[in-house]
Amino acid sequence: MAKNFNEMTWKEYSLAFMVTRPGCSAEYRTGDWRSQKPVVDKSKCIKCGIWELRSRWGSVKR
Amino acid sequence: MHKVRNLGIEVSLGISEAVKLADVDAIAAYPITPQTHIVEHLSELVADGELNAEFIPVESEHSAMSVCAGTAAAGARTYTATSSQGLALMNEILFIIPALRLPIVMTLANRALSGPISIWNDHSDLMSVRDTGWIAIFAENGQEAFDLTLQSFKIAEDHRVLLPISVNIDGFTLSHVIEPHEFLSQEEVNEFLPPYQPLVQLNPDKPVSMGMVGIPEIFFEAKKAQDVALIESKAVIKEVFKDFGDRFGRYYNVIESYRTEDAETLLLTMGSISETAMEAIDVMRDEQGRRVGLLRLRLWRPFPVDELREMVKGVKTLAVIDRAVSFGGTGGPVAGEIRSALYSTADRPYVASFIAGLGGRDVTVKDFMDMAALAEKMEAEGEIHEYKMIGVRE
Repeated sequence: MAKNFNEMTWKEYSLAFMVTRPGCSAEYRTGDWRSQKPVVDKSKCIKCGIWELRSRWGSVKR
Repeated sequence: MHKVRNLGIEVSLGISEAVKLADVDAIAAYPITPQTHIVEHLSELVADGELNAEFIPVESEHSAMSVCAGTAAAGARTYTATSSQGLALMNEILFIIPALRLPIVMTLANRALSGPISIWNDHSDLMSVRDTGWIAIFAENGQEAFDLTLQSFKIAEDHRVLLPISVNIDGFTLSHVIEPHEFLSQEEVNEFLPPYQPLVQLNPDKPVSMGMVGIPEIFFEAKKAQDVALIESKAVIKEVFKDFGDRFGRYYNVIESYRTEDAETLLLTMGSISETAMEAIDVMRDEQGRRVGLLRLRLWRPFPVDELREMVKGVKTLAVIDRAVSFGGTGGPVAGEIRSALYSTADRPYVASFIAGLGGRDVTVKDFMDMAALAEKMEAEGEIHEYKMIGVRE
């Protein structure tokens, strides 16, 4: 991809901001969405199960 | 020279005939007074096999406009019509159509918004959707409604435009009257209006996604592009008006004028009351020797600022007649627009804002003469005002 999508001017987007290439979301960098990285401290775990319910996309189990 | 076919016909049916001549592919509409006759006749034309189109009866106007979005996105020439409460029910989808750059043509048989409940004519319905991003054009009589309906498809579908258009006709005053029409033949229309060639369309063989999320990093750019598209459509509108005039002899302008030469005072109107206003101008000019003229705003969106500034040069008083109220605002919707357009210009005329003809109230020749005189008096006295209602019992 030539230019990052959030650096393009209003003239450079496709008509009506249509997506004309299937699967092009793979080119969209999402890694910098997170500003803080959670670290699990297993020594404090009391096995309450709340984190399992509340963690995003089931990232933590048991 | 084109072949003339004259016919006395109800204006609504004349519009249906124009839609038929435009050979639309899809119509989705819900009946509402005073638009009913248009879609009723179209459903007959489709049922009788005279028009090869999908007529999709829906359960509400919200669905009507949603279906239109779908058919237009699939690349179909798409038409609908509505009025007042129906337009209000479409509101959510109305914003999305221009954002998706879908060239839908819609007749808006202008009718007051409730309440009190009214089926009669004013422009409050159109004004409620002012900022949806649709092109908005006004017809003053049946012939114009017929001509502008055909021209609207050509304007909307031009690849430099790709925007929806509402063709405004005053409810009852136009929709339900029989007027002489000069029709065009199918051959003439085919030559003027070739089949719609979508730039992008929904097609499984070449998939696209329309109506994506606009996160903060791109939403603003999307709106800028949409705004520029609407503003730039004016050049294409003028081009199509000229093409139509060259072919068929009836020329249209974004602002029409009537006897404005040497005028010190101008009235400004939109829609069918313009014809009454022209009569008033004749009386004031011919019987009273007054230097008055009339501007008739044909194109409401995109607003023809440059043309307006040019046409009011040297004019002392401009009386703008609105047919809607912006409650608690600084003027009628049209007058407010005009004051903004002229504020930064030198030697601008005094702008009087009058609101008349709400909910079907007649605006007579005498009313126009009274408004011209009142505007001149206000100008002479330098009266500071927001707006005045004309014809209301005090």
